[in-house]
Amino acid sequence: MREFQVSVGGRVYNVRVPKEGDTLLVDGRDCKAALVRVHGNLYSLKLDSRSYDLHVRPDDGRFLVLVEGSEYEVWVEDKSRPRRPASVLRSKEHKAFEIKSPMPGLVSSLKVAPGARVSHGAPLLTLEAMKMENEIRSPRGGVVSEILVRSGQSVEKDDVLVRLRL
Amino acid sequence: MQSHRIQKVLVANRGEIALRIIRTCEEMGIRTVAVYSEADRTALHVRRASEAYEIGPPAPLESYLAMDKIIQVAKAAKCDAVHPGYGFLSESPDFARRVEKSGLLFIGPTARSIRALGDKLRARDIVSRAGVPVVPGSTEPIRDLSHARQIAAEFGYPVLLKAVGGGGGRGMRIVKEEKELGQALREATAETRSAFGDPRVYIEKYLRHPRHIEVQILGDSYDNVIHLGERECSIQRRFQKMIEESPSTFIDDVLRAEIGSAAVRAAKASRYRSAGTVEFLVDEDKKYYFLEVNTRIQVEHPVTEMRTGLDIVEEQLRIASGESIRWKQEEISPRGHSIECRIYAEDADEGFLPSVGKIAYLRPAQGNGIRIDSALEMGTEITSYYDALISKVVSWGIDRAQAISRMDRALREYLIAGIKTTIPFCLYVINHKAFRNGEYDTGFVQEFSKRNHQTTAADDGRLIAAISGVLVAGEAKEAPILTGGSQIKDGWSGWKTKRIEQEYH
Repeated sequence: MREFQVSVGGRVYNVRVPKEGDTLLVDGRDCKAALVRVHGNLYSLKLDSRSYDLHVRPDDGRFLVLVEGSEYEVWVEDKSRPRRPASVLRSKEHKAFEIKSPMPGLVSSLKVAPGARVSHGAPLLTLEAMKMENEIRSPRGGVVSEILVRSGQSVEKDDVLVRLRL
Repeated sequence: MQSHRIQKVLVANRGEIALRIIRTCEEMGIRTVAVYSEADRTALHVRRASEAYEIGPPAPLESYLAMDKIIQVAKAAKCDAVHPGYGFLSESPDFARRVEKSGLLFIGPTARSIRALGDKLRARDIVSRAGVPVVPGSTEPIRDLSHARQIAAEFGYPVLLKAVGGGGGRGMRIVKEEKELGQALREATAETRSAFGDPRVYIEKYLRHPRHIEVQILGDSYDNVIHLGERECSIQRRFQKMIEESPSTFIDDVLRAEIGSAAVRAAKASRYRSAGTVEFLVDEDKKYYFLEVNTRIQVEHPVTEMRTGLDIVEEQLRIASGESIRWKQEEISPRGHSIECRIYAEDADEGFLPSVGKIAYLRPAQGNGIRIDSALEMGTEITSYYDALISKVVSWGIDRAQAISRMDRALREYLIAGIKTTIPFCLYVINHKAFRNGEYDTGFVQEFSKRNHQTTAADDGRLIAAISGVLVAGEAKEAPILTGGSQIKDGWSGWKTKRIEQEYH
């Protein structure tokens, strides 16, 4: 029996997968699941007798799963394997928290200055892309330790915009 | 005007509309020339055209908006006409004038009518002289705040500030009461100046719960104008359309005929040539008011093609070559019901945030009554340089119920992986009771946005499917995509799209 903690759209599920057979337990509920690869990242999942087309892309530690038109971000933690020592993770985490640009665009305005204390959801800057102004908000609380962009600057996807001290 | 058979057309656009124009040209035996930016070397419009020329860097100003380069290519490639599509240069009177000055045909209205109708105050003046009702509002640009106050008081709050120089929601502000007027005027003026290079704004009475109903028209060079019926486009966000349908469920045949003939009068008054759209707002009392004329082929034109059987691009080409319109008004008899869902590369759950990336998998919807206009294939890169509209799904049915069922079925069949799309949002709308009953207005999407994360509150089966899929994928021997112990990534960024424009309530 392997046990996973799976987070989908902010909700966490406990999933148990037995060594034999194809019946999973999702939060204690039985699901008969069989998966066949169709092509590339496209899978056909049969959940009981119902078919689902799934497109599953591994992406930076998570999975992007397309089901019936909606794409879900899925994080999976394998509970049955030993975790790496927490201290290693934590020290890495504590170094700095980086907020990266989700897309290429033009920084249209900055909403914070270095040293500012921000809370979860606080606007950090606005990014103009695809003819829209997009507000980049802080995913967590902390102190702005560094702002790596200027207003008017073009940025690429995944460029670091702001560093936070947690 | 002498009739001249067009031999070769330069298509000054990209994406689905460029491909759509190329298709009709190919059917008519007309050769095509594509122009493209460095970002679009492998785009389908480039590969499907008879010839293609690179014209510059990805930024539109240096490529798809670069008039000199485009006209130069058209001349060098010995084209005899230019089709601007929608967006980009399609409503630039300067471009139309320069194309015609270069001895090429412009597939669209004359520069003169683009200019006249592009000035919203002039357009209102022209059509109201032709006896078409316009939304009550100012007849001149706002001079200053006290002028604005005076006019707003005259029509009564709420009022709408609008750009004289262009549409698309840019520079628009709803003002509910006088104390908001000063700031709204400053913002609207600034936004209008940056969007259109023209800071002029004017005031219109703001209509509550309006329906957006537009009429497709065709005019030729001999002052003949016919209309091809209406489209209802009330499912909008930020004044941009999401879903269109024809016929409208809101108007009866009497009002339909009245609006149709008003559209024809408006077009005749501006001596309109080519395909165009006369937009109206219809209020709760079923009074209709002229809104504006779109002097181009529109995104939603397939809805009209599905019902009339006409190819509007073909008609544009024939009109540009000097033919007169081939049909009399009474020969146009639209049939059945058609719906278009616009698929944007956007995440509806995150305030319609743009989504960029590569199309990792594509399975188009097929089958009876479905038309898809897109320029997508596997591997297509969706960038932030251009419009987020990536595909249009159009359904036809003998009645509205069948058109909806087919759309519903097609959207479930359509698989676009690699980016977020508005497919789930469209599914939500067309299955919504208000939409099914035809009881919706331009505030519908606003209502949707208030229900935060509506589409992610999916049924258990779907979530479990997602979860199980990932897990079992890891277990599947031939495809071990899950290695276990994957570290939870630290660094999601929560972000929301700011609404740049106010919205209808």
